Amino acid sequence: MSGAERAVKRYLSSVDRALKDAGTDRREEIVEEIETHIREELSRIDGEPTQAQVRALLDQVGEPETIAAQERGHDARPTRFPLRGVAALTLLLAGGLLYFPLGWLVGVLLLWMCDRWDVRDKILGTALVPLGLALPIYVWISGCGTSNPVAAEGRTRYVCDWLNMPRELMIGTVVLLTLTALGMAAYLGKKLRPRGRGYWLPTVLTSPFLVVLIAVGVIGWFSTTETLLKGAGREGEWKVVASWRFQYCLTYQHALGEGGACGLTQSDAISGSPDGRGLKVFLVDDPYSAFSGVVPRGVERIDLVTESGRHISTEFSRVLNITFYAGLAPGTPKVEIVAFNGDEIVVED
Amino acid sequence: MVPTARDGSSLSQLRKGTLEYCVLALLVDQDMYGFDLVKALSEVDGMATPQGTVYPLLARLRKEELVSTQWQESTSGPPRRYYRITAKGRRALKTFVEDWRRFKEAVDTFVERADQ
Repeated sequence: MSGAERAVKRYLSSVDRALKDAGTDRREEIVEEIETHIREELSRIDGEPTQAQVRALLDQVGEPETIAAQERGHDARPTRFPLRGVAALTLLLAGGLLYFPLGWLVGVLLLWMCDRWDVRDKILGTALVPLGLALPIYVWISGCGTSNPVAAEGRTRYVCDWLNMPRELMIGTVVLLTLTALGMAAYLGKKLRPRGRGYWLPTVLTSPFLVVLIAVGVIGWFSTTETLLKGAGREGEWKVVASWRFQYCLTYQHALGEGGACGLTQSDAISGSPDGRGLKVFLVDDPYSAFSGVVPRGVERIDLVTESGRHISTEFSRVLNITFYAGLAPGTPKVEIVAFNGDEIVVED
Repeated sequence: MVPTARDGSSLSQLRKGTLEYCVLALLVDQDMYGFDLVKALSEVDGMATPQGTVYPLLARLRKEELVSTQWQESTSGPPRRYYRITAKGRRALKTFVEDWRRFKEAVDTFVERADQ
């Protein structure tokens, strides 16, 4: 490669770099045209061009920065921060968590009002994922927050309440919905970012997606208040242990211990609990074999013997994690309640 | 609007706003090869600008559909991109020409006083 050729290549790659904010097509087109221009000039020089000639020629073509400035020039005013777009994305992702489902609906409205996306983007943004992150979270809490044991193939296994989906499939669905929602926000956020110069914000904040993530975090922070001790937790009283905007989890203090339930509202949670008082106890033999039942109020002793004679008292640490429903689920292994001693189950073989 | 790359010269500012219409005007009678277009502009004193800066402008005019491009075979070297003014480009130019005449007269009205 001759010295002239090297100088031209170097020049073209610095033009290419300077144009980094232009779209790829545009950048290629401009660099290609400038290269043609330079080659045309070079071909008009008799013989091998000297270094000085090449330098003079490249000077005439102009500093890469000057060329890039011309490219940016037509929208040289600082780009206004895409407030509506960022608000739309934030509400699409997290609005459902804040005010379910109104927050998300406002997000959709803003999405369609924002002129930075085309119709295809807007349709995608609306469809993927409806209700945003609230959907996977709600599916998870309503579906698997409590798991019902059901009999299957001679054994009892967990399925999620919702749609009777196997737990693994439910986990996959929730993960998929979450990733889809985040991916869509990243894609739409990328489109918010202007070509050309950045915003008036520091560089680190110029990614709309980052701004959206921070906003989602802030909303999450304020909309999730754990361990809201509203009741005093005395016997016969409800205590709010976790509260999101669309989800209340409460425990009920019994003589036997605590029971809990979650629901859209506090009264949902209370009425949804098996005995109307929220006592939920789930006795686990092994992770795939279980039975459930309501512990009647006032029962003080329950001892358990499984048909297989398996020792289950060690599993009792899981009590209160899951549900204890009225009666035995069909097909559950036969159990005999023998004794319940405080918060420990004693199994007598 | 925040001006960028101010070089303090009013000519440069004026050129910035009018260069694209000069390009469109050059294309009114004939399609032109980018290189010839740039040369034609640089030959006129007052319109001379770093040659490379015309190409981003051409790319923008193309995107805004004020010009279109065609590839034409060249007898010497690779095919060349020729620029052609579109109907939209002609309309934009016509509007500019009318505006320019009014503007020129208006400015003259004032600057002629400074001359006296």
